[in-house]
Amino acid sequence: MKLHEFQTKTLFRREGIPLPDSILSSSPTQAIQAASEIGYPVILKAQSLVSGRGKAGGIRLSRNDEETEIAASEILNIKIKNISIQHVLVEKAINIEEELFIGLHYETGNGSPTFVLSTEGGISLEDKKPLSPQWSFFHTIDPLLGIHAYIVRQGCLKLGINPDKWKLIEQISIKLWSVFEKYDATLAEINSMVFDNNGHATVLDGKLIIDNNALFRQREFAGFLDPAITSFAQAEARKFDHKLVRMEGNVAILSNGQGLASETIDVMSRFGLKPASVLLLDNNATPSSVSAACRLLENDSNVKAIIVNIYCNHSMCTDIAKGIINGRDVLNIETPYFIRLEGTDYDRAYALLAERVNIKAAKELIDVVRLAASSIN
Amino acid sequence: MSILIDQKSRIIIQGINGRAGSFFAKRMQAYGNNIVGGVSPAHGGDWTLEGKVPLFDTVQECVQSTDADTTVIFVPAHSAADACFEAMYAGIRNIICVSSNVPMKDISIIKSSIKDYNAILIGPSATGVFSPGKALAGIFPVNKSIEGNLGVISRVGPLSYDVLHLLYEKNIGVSTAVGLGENCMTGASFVDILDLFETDAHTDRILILGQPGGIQEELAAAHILESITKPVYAYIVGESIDPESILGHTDMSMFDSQHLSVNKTRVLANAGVQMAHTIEEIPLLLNNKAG
Repeated sequence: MKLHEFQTKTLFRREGIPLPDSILSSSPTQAIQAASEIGYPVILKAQSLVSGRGKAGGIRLSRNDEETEIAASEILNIKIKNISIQHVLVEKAINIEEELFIGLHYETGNGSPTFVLSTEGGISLEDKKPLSPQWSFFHTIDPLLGIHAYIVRQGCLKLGINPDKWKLIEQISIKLWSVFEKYDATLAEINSMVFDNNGHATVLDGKLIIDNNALFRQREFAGFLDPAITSFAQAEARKFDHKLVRMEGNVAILSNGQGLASETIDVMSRFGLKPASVLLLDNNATPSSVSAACRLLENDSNVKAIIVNIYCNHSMCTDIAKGIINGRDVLNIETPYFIRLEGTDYDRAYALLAERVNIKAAKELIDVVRLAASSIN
Repeated sequence: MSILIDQKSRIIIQGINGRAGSFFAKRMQAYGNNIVGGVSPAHGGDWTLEGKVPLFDTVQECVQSTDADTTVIFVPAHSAADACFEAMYAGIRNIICVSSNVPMKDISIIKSSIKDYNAILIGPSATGVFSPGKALAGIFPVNKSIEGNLGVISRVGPLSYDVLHLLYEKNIGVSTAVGLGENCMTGASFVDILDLFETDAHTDRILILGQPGGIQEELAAAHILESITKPVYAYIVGESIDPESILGHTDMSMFDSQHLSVNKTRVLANAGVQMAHTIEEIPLLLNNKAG
């Protein structure tokens, strides 16, 4: 779960990371009020979970009320990837002397957190562009020992940072570690840390991704869900421990593994079909949780067909079949289903599905996808 | 021979009284495994699986009375780390964690600690370890696999069951199949299991099943080039996934834009690995080389 900038900053402030004064606003009037409390010049920043807000005009400098009004109303009308901006963060503008990047994330290869310090501020580990090794320092952290100041000093030394600044960089890096550790983050970034003309350190922006699998012990984040992006459907899916992602195509996929879903996308692409969404069922799916999944997939006007590719190992194929049939009957929906089931009790499941209108089942995935393709084209 | 488990393995099940635990315990027992005990706190002293398997409150007690060397874990995600640590400290060698949705911090800490113990963690979200004709420690379907000389390492979850079926239909036998789990971060990795197959006398060649996300396939490619002498084959699913087409943010690793299947396929091919480009090509590729 990715947090907004203002939510990230709330957690940073709690750990004592120095930040410029900022106030969240959701209208031009509120933005002007915020700017007058903070004092000009200010930066107005679109609060967006989709990257690319800078390019989309979502970050603006303002020196007076007039500029604030224009900037705020323009930002609130921006849509990035079709998702509109709900909030603008009004923040004190800082005179930047030197920019640093500080990051923590899990290295999936060795399974340990990695500390990154870089003099290339202004970019993110989430972006495709890797940090250049020449200007960056990477260090594997033992998760049981955490970060220590000496590690940060090694980085400062490698990057040729002025020793006057080491102490502040150490302190802020250790505070970032405590955010990362305490809140079950999978990624925590300071981007960037700046020094003003007087040598004071401030953190301009940050990014936090919280581990969805840790939400059972990170309960406060339930209140951090953004309705604009974590759609109703995604929130509903989470209730049943399903996973759902929306995409740009028009064929929904219902499956029970990322590998199976990936295979389905590959086979679909051979027939020119693009996914509208992928919903992965929880291992312990029951007929009613499958019905709920069907409801979520059909609750999207782009969907022209639904392809099911499920291998029943934990659950019974008949439970999946019953769930689909009940879900469709209750909703009275005609979206055609193309179903491939394998595993426990599949022959009985196929018998149940055989008598149904607008449901086609086949034993091989490729046949199912072919049927779906011919129904759409 | 096989890797990790065989007929002599002494297997216990943590969370044997849960829905998944009892379901798969029966499958393992029916396959002829030596299920020597179950762990279910506050049920110590009872018996399960038709009175044939004793229950214990703790793994330590269970190991003391049964001399178990392998555990299969089915507890809920929030207790998974606890269960893994308990097994580790009790001296269990093969820890197979089937539990899914385990937090990354927990996996990271287990991975860091397990180095000090003579143990290996398969999972979380593992489909387990399956040596056809010998033993099952996990959740693989067992009815369509035959014993043979192909080692299989999977990171594709249930898709690996389809691959095993295809192999069976084409008469290709398997020494051991290891399902590491679909997460980017897993306990044992492709590299660890490649090393085990390399030294296993009954494994002649190795099949890797990978998917987008993480860097396990890339690390495996480098390792194969350096230290694996047996022929390696691979299939990386998800070549046509376009992470740019998702709306919003997801934690599903199949949409990881930095570690696409096409790159993984290229890196493995450069390391001399024989690549299948569809699931149907896998047995063709294997039979071609064998014949």
